[in-house]
Amino acid sequence: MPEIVGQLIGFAVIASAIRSFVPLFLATIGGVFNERSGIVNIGIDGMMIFGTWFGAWGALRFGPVAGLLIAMLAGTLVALIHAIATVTFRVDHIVSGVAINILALGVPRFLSIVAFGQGTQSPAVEQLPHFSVPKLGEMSPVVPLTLVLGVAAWYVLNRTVFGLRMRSSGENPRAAESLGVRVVAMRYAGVLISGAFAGLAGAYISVELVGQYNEGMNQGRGFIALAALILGNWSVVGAALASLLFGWTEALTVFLRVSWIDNAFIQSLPYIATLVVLALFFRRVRPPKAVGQAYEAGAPI
Amino acid sequence: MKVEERPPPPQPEPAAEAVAGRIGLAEQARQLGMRLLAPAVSLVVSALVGALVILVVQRSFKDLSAVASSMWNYGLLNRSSFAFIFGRATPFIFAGLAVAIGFKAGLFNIGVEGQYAIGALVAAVVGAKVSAPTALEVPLVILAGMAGGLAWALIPALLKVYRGAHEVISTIMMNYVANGLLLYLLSGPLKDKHQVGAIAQQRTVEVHDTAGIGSMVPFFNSIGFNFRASSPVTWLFLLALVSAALYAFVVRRTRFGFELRVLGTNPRAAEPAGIRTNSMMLKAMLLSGAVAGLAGLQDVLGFDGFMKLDYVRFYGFTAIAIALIGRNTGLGIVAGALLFSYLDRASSGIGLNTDVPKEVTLIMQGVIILTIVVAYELVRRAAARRQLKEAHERA
Repeated sequence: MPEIVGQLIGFAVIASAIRSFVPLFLATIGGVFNERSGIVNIGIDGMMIFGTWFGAWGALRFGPVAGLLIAMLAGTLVALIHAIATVTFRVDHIVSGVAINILALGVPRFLSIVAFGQGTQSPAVEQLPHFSVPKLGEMSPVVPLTLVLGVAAWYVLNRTVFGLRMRSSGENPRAAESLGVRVVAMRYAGVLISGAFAGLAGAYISVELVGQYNEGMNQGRGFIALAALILGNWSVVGAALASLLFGWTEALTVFLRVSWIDNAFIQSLPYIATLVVLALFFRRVRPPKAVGQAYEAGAPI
Repeated sequence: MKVEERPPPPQPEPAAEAVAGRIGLAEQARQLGMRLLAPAVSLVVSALVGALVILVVQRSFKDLSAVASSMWNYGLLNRSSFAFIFGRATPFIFAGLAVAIGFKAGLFNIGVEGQYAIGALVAAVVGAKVSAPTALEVPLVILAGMAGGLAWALIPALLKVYRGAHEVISTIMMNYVANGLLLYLLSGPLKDKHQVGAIAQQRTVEVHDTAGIGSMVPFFNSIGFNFRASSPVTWLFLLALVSAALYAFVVRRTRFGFELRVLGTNPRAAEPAGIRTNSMMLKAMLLSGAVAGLAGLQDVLGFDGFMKLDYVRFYGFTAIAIALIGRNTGLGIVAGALLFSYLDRASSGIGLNTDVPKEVTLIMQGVIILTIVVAYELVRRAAARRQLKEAHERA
């Protein structure tokens, strides 16, 4: 069955999988940072949505490079809300994250009406100059940038003092503090870095992948990134592999056509794959020890 | 469900009782004030942010007063305002209760969105297929809706209990899978193929008249309201209120509710206390899904008469906010539902009467959610500090 092989691992599918891999990997790297610092960030999806909007808006006003940077800034600012709520006010991490996701349903709609004159989409925006890869076709410069960022994230987290301090804040904050680590600052840093990555991931989708903002275009990728985080066992390398798997299932929704499966189900493939991954791997992985727990600096034990 | 046994209250001396009564009343008033403080602060902050946004975007005080007046006049004083608010609050109450049941057990059911969509679909199909007297058919379609919601909560519930999969992610994934399933069913096997009219909608066959849920307007008008006959409020509003009362009773007064709360507040203590945590978790999730299944019924059985593909209302996400605002209490959820329903009504007013985008109320809703969780946390800490201080003073 050469046709089905082409639909599963043909060059067009691989190229599409790489394009879908980028936002998932970026968001998952962000998730690695916030979770390793000890904060759960269910709001990644919302931060990505803000990224899609601000990316398109920035690209429209100041060009694509500025769009990506503005989206990163917007993601960081939304993450700051999450950090203030969870680190400083010690609100339940999931409650705060859910609140941010709800905010991301409404605020972009309002902003769109103000900035674009209609609620659900932006005009087409200018993209970065894409480059051509043999067999795979046009690629956004954000693709290699993502790989560079992935290597950088791995290095920072595993080979620097900053990374060690961040990881210790998520494993054993009490012990970390006794060794002079400023746990609160580390957790702020983890969440803000996460917001920046999520913002960039969102902007990649609107500016580079589609070329305009559409309401709902993020399609729950932030939650798939959370599943990739679990599947990747909270490591950058694992995140890359998991994102590749989910990126590939997303590509299949475009290319896979099987006569006895209705297309509606093929469209649901990334979500079903996420459920399967959760079911198979949730028990076998090891999250950071203190993730999700409130921490009060200097409090008596 | 067995009602918890409570020890008989101790009998204090008459004089002491009187003193305790007075202190108790002052203390109760203070506690009530503390409880209302957080929502009040949150409402004020959201109004201020809303006003600020309008000023920044429109740069005029005239628009601000136009918004305020239409929020007041159209939102509350218009002839049918309250009918709209009650009708809109109906799905919010059901969905809010569904989220709250999960919260009580320490579970985050973010899948209410998919659960009520599937519930509405099942109810619509049953209502179209089965023909029975209203007294039989209406309970049947309501149960069908609950069964649909329950079925959609089953997979995340099983994944949670047997595989440990986090319900936040799995329930959200189920929302997307529900979309896929609806797309398949409503454009194919369940599509009404005998529609009259130019454009065939992707929707189910219309339900029998006996499955329709009646308007509550005649009742309201008989007790002194003056709603337009077409106002969108059905008897499901009453069912929503009864459900909220029932929820409050079950959570506070029954063994099931007690075990639910133990599981939610201290899961590690639950197992040693003889609570079968896995079974409780499963029950809580399924009950949450079943109640969620009620949220879509008003649109399908009260208004449209069929389930359609573009049925996406975001009740599920609003419901999370409502459960948070209402602190998972029955009364609080009804109040939160009425508040968000009012904001929707006010939003239409802003859209009709002013130049300001009506989506400004969405921003206000977002701000309410974020500030309320912080405000509750601050109030809780203040109360804890006070208790500590009082304990020191007594000692």
